[in-house]
Amino acid sequence: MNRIRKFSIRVKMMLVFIMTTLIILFINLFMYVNVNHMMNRLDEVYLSNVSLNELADKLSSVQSSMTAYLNTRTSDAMEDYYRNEQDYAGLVAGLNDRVYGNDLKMMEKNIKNMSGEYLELTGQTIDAKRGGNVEKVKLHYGRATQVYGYISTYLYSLNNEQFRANSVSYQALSMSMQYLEWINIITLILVGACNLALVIMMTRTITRPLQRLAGTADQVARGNLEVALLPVISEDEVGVVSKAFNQMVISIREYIDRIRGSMETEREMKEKELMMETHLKDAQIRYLQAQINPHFLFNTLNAGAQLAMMEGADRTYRYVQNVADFFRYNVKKNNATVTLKEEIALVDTYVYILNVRFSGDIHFRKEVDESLLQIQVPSMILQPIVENSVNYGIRNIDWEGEILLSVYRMNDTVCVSIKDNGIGISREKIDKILSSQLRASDLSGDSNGIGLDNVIGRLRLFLDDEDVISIISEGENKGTEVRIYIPVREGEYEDV
Amino acid sequence: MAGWDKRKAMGKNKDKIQQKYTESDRTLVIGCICSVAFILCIAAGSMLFFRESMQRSERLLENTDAEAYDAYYVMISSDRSSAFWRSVYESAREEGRKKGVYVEMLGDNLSTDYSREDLLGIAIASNVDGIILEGDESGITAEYLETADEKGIPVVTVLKDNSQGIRKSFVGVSNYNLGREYGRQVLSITDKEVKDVLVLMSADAQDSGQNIIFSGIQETLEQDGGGIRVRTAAVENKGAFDAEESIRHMFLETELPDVVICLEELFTSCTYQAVVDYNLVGEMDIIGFYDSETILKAIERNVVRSTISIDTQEMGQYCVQALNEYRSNGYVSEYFGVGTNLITTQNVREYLGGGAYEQNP
Repeated sequence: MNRIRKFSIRVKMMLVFIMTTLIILFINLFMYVNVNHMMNRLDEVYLSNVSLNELADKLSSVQSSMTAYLNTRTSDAMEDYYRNEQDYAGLVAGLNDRVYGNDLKMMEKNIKNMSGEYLELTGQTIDAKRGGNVEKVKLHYGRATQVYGYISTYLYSLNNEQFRANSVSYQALSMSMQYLEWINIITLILVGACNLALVIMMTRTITRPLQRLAGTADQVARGNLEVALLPVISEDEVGVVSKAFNQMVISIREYIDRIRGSMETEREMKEKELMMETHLKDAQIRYLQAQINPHFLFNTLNAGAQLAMMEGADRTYRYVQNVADFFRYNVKKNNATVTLKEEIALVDTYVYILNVRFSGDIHFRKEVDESLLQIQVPSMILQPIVENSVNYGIRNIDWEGEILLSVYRMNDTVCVSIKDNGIGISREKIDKILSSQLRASDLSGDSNGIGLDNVIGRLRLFLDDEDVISIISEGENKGTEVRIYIPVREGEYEDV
Repeated sequence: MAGWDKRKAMGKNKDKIQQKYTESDRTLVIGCICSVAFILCIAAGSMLFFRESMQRSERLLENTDAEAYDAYYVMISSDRSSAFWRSVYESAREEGRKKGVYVEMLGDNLSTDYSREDLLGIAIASNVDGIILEGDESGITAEYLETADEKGIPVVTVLKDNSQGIRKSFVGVSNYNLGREYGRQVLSITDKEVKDVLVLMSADAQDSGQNIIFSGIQETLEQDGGGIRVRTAAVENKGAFDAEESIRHMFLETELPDVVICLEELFTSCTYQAVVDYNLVGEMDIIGFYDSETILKAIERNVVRSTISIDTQEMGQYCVQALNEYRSNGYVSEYFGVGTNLITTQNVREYLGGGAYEQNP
C-alpha cells in the first residue's frame, strides 16, 4: 500500500485502467475460447455422417467399377476397380470391430465384416472374369451384388441412426450454446458492474485528497487561515501540492504574526519618541526655570517697584510692577486653564511693557464683548499671537503699527481675533504654520519660547478640533488676522 | 506556548485523519480483493458449467456408455414386432448381458424390411458369433445353415425347426404334445355340442411343426370317438396384413365351425376381433396361442376359451445358453424343451396381474 502511495496520479490512473481492461480482456478471451470450443464441437457433430456418406460413395464406386470391368474388361476399368477397392478398404479399416452393447457400434462392425466379404467376392468375380469363367462370374457377381445391397442398406440405416443420435447431440450442444450465451451476458454484466465499482473505488482515492485540497483552499481564499492542515497521505502530485499548500498556510500565518509584532514594536518606539520629546521639553522648561528663580525675580522686581514708589517715580513703579505681573503670570499660569479675561489682561500687560520698550509705537485697541470674558481657554495663547504680530507684523513697517483685539460671538462660537496692519504673511507660510511644519529654527531668538505652533497644538488638543484657528492675510503689507474659534459649550454658555 | 499547543492539536488532528485514511485504504484493498475474487468466481462458475455441458454433449456424441461384450449373437424371427418374439428377444438379451454376450434382433435398425432369408444372409456375411433363428423347413434356409456352418457360425433354431439344415440345437416345445393339449381343450368344452373344429394353419407349407400339432389334435379327438370333424384352413401370412384379410375372408366364405384353434399369436388376435365384429361371441369358441394382453383380456371376457402360452423367458435364456455351450464345448444338446402354460378363465387373473410378457410391438 505504501508503494502505491508513492505512485504518481498518471501511474495510478494507468494502473486502474490497465487492471480493469485486463479483467475485461481476460473474461472476453475466456468466453471466446469457450464459444470457439463449442463451435468446434458443433462442427464435429455431423462428422460421422460425412464419413459414412464418403464410405457409401466409395462402395458404389467399387460396385460400378467392378460392373464396368465386367462389361468392358478394359484395363482402365480394372485400375479403377483396384483403386476404389483400396480406398474403400482403407475407409472400412477405421470402423469399429469390437463387440459393444450399442446397436450403432454393432452396425459398424457388421458393415466392416460384410465389406470384407464383399471385397472378397468382388475380387473373386474379377478373377473369374479374367479367367473367362462365365459361370463363376455370374455366381460371384450375384452374391457380391446381394452383399452390396446389404451393405448399402446398413450404411443408409446407420447414417439415419447416427443422424438421429447426432441430432440429439446437436440439440444438447445448441442448448448448451444458448446457456453459454446467457452465462456470457450475465458474466459480462456482473464483471462490468464489478469493474465500475473498482474504478469508482480507485478513482475516489485519487480525487478525495483533491476535493479536500480544493475545500481547504476555498476556505483560505475566504480568509479563514485557521483551517486544519491537510493530511498528506500519498506522495503523488496531489501529495506534493498538499504539502506545498500546508507550507504556504503556515508561512502566511507566520508572516502575519511577524507583521503584527513589528507594528507593535513600531508603535512602542513612536510612543517612546514622543515621551522623549515631552521629557526634553520639560527639561528645557525646568532648565529655564532653574536659570531664573522666579521668586527671586519677583521679589527683586517688587523691591525695584517699592524703591521707585519711594523715590516718587510713578512711571518706573508702574513699569516694574507690570513686568513683575507679566512674569508671575507666565510662571503661575503655565499649562493651566484660565479665563479669557485673564488672557486679555496679560496681553494688556505685554503691550504696556512693549510700549515702554519701544516708546509707545504699538497702537493696541480692544473690541471686547464683556459677556464672553469668562470662557475657559488654555493659558498663554493670546500673548504669543500678539508677540508674533509685533515681531513679524508691525516691527519694521514705515507706517503706524496697529493691533486690534476683538472678542465677539458668532452663533455657537466665540471668536477671538488679533488683527494687525503689518507686512502680512504669504499663503505658503500660513499653510506651513497650520500644518505644524514650522520648526523652532524658523523662529527668531527673542521669543519667550512659546511659538505659534505650540499655541495651535494646545488649542487643538484642548478643544478637540482641528479647525480651531485661522490665519488670514490679504497680501503683502495688508496685515494679518489670526482668529481663534472657541465653541460655547452648553454649561459654559449659561455661566456666561 | 500557544503556537506549540496549536501545533500539537494540529498533529493530533493529523493523526486522526491519518488513521481514518488508513482505514479507508484497508476498505479499498478489501473491496478490490472482493471484486476480483467475485469476478474469478463468476469465471470459474461459468467455466464449470460450460465443462459440464460440454462433457454431457460429448458423452452423447461418443456413446461412451456402451460397454464391451465378448460375443455378438443375432436373433432372426419372422415377426419382429409381435409381443411373443419381443418377449423372447428381451429374455435372450437379458441372459446375454449376464453372460457377456450382446444379442441383437437383426433388422430392427435397418431401413429395409428384409426377409428372414436375407437377414440370415446378412448375419452370415457379417460373420456374427451366433445366430438364433426362427426356423422353417425350406431348402433355402437349409442352404444358409450350411453356409453358416462352413463359416463356423453356430445356429440355434427356436420355436420352429429346420430339420434338414445343420443347426446346432433346437429350442422349442414338443409340437405333438402341444397338439394333444389343444385336443384336450376341445374335449373339455362341455357346455355345448362340438361337431366341427377348424385349425388355422399358416399357409407356409414348409412348416412341418404345424402338421405335427394337427396330428396331435386329430389323434386326441379320434381317441375320444365323439365324431368331431377336424378340418384345417390355411392363412396367408407372407405379406403384410395378409393374415387379417385371410381370416376375415374365411369367416365370410366358409362354413362356420364350433371351435377355432389358432396356432399363432397373430391368428388368435385376428380371430378374436372377427368373432366380436361378426357378433359370434358364444357361438364360436377360440382356443388361442400365446398370452399377449389382448388375448388375456379376451379370455377374461369369455370370447377366447383358453390359450396355450410358451414360457418365452425360458425360451430366450435357452437360446443363449445353447449357443454359449456350443461355442465353449463344441457340442450341445440337440433339443431344449420349453414349458407351456394353459390359460383359461380360471387362472387368467394371475397372468393379467403379472402383466404377462407383453411388450409393445
